[in-house]
Amino acid sequence: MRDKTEIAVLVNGMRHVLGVTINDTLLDVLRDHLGLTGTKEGCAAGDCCACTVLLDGRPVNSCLVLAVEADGVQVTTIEGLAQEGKLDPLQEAFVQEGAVQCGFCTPGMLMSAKGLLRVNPKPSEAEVRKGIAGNLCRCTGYVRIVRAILRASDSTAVCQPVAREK
Amino acid sequence: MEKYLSFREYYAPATQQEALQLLLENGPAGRLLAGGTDLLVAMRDKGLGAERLISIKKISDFGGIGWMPDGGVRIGATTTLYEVEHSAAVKRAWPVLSQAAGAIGSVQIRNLGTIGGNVANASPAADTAPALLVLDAEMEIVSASGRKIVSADRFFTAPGKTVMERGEILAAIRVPPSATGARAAYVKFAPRQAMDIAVVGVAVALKLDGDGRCREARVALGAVGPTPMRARGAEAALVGEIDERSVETAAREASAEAKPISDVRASGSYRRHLVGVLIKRAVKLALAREHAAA
Ligand SMILES: Cc1cc2nc3c(=O)[nH]c(=O)nc-3n(C[C@H](O)[C@H](O)[C@H](O)COP(=O)(O)OP(=O)(O)OC[C@H]3O[C@@H](n4cnc5c(N)ncnc54)[C@H](O)[C@@H]3O)c2cc1C
Ligand code: FES
Ligand code: FES
Repeated sequence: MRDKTEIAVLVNGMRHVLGVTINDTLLDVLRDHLGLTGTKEGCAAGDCCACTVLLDGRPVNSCLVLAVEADGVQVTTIEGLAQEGKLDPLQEAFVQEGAVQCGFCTPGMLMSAKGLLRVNPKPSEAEVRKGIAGNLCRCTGYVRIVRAILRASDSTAVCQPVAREK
Repeated sequence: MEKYLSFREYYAPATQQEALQLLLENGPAGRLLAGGTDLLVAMRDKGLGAERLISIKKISDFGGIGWMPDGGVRIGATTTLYEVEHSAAVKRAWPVLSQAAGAIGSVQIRNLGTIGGNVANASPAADTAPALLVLDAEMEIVSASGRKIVSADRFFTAPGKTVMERGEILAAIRVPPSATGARAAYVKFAPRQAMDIAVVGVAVALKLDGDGRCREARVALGAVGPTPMRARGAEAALVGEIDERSVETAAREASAEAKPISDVRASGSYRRHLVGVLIKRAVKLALAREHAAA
């Protein structure tokens, strides 16, 4: 058994003090220590982005972050997206646009989209595509996902009539 | 997934002195860790052995983007690729570098990966390398015996190798002020638009005088040799009037200078052909770019 190091992380607004080994990744800690299995592991090598979470608001691959380096940071996972039982506008839009098929990529997609809209509340289609460029989806063909993200961004924009049927 | 990281010790020193000390004490077993997007993947997937990781992200002198007295900029080695891509200063005065940083991986990778890691890892295909070469960037390297400056031109020595020796750390990258009339662009060719390593990368920088003639040119190539490289024949061809003929000559020269290998991504002859094509695109893009001095 390896020595444990103590870290304090704020996950979805809740402070956790955890004993982790130096070899644990943030993804391991989220899934195995905290039971937050919404965040998926696809490749464990940075290639699929199924493991995307927000680290201090920015999307990162949680499979490439050492848990010890998450000490003192704020993490938002898919479980933290809905507020008080109410789905995030992005989640609503994914449902309405039919942007979910098998669902494996969905948590990562949503977190990438969340990270994008945080810095760019009204992205162009090209910007949406760039924002989710690393997120692989083997089911949908991406079109509905892009549409859903645009829909959510429009719906939070001021005085922007929703008129995006292509 | 049976992909465990097996290193035994982890350090996160707060100062440069401590980091250098740890490097010396740990010898070959010690390995610097920045964003981990190259290193952790290599340890997991390629069985790269590293016993002790020394994270340098807590060292404030290695981070951040700051102006230098001469109007150039100093980019700390642990500055993320995302920060380089979106830095207002970089975007305004050295857009080619913002563009190259933004061409790397995904936004997730750019939020973790650092510019120092990109160059220190010394992949021949590292996207920031051609941009740094055409900008005449300099590498600021620290060791127990002090600080030294090495031009980007002399930094890369072989695939995965740089002039840095054991006990040395890349502290920052310095980019000199962008001259009046300077225009530069980076063009990356890869089968996929994102998340793909360059098959060929070409950066071009041109210094134009008042009537549009080229006073000085820089051309750098990625992924077509053991290291990112300058293409000096192409540079010479671009000086003077820039027209179809001179660009054609530059493209031919650069293709001849490239030393590409054949691998799973592309054959050597295809890479050589691409170099010529991309030079023309890069010159066009560079000329179209509005200049904003630093
Ligand atoms: C999915 C994926 C896609 C990618 N796509 C691209 C791409 O399109 N283009 C591209 O160029 N790269 C790409 N990369 C590679 C990688 O993301 C970049 O090279 C990145 O900049 C590496 O930086 P890092 O901070 O993560 O380095 P690390 O992994 O932390 O370190 C890399 C190496 O450099 C050494 N090192 C790091 N910092 C220093 C320093 N300051 N001084 C001395 N040595 C140091 C480390 O010891 C290690 O050997 C990709 C990687 C992944 C996983
Ligand atoms: S599991 Fe992290 S990128 Fe695939
Ligand atoms: S919905 Fe199945 S992978 Fe995207």
